[in-house]
Amino acid sequence: MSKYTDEELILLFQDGSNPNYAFNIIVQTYQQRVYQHVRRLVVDHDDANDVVQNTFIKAWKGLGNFRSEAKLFTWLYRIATNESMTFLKRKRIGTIFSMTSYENYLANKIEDSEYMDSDALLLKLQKAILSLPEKQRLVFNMRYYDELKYDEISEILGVTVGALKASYHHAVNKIEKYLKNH
Amino acid sequence: MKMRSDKEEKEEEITRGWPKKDPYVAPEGYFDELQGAISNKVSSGRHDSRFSRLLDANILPLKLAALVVILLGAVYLVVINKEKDQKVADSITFEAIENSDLLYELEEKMIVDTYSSSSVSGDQNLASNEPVVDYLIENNIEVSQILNEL
Repeated sequence: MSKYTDEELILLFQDGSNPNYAFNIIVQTYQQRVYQHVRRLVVDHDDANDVVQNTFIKAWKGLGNFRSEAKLFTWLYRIATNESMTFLKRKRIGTIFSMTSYENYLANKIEDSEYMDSDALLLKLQKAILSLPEKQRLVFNMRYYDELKYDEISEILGVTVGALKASYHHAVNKIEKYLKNH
Repeated sequence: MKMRSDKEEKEEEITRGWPKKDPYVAPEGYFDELQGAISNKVSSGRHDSRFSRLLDANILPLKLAALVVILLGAVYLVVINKEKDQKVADSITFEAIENSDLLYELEEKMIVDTYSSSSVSGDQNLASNEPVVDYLIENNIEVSQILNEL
């Protein structure tokens, strides 16, 4: 655990006295959570590695202008989400002429992935999550795994709390149906 | 204290039996290396693409040389195209013009077909013939007379 608060780290970075030190602590503090969030979206470890690195590099570039009204963690989450979405969009365009969708490809990849817990129920749940529309998948992951509050998710995704609640509710029902039918 | 909605209670009931454990695991020692990789990229600026690095690089002579090459290439293309046009113009001879297809060489049937398929209506044809018919009547000229003279 860092001896500094987020606000102190931001100040340390922004006043220019030791930006590298402050940034290293920020990376150390949040890298695992950012990685898990990204990995759940892009599935593959190598892809997640690229996206996470890009996320922190963007954070480095933007931290000088960061305003403390937002939480550092939600800000990092927002960058990571945008980077993941951009990555997935590019991948989907790449598979536009293939027989299966990119999400189906990811669902198949889950079973072959080297860095994956092989528990059958865990894998089945992941496949069910991958069958969801992108927005519902995002909301479900943030709420179910990261246990973020709707207010926080709203700040990250820029979507109203009401819409998020509806998305989560639909997601849960769809996953339940998937688990029953498969 | 906030009351939980029926929806939320139902969601919790459904998800209760689902595993909460995150199935995605990172390779051992990954996070130690990740920190180092990010630090390296940030401090050396290697995160930029090769192209943007090339644009940002302080290589003015190379940039000028590239500009000169592009300009020379453009001038060369313009000159080559002009010469090509001139050669085509010079190659056209009177014989070539004489040998080309002329209107009178077209088959009569083709002309009739084209005329009959045109959008000009019969009424318009009659209207355009009216001055000719008037002239023939006024001067008492028979159509057979015209045909004989032809």
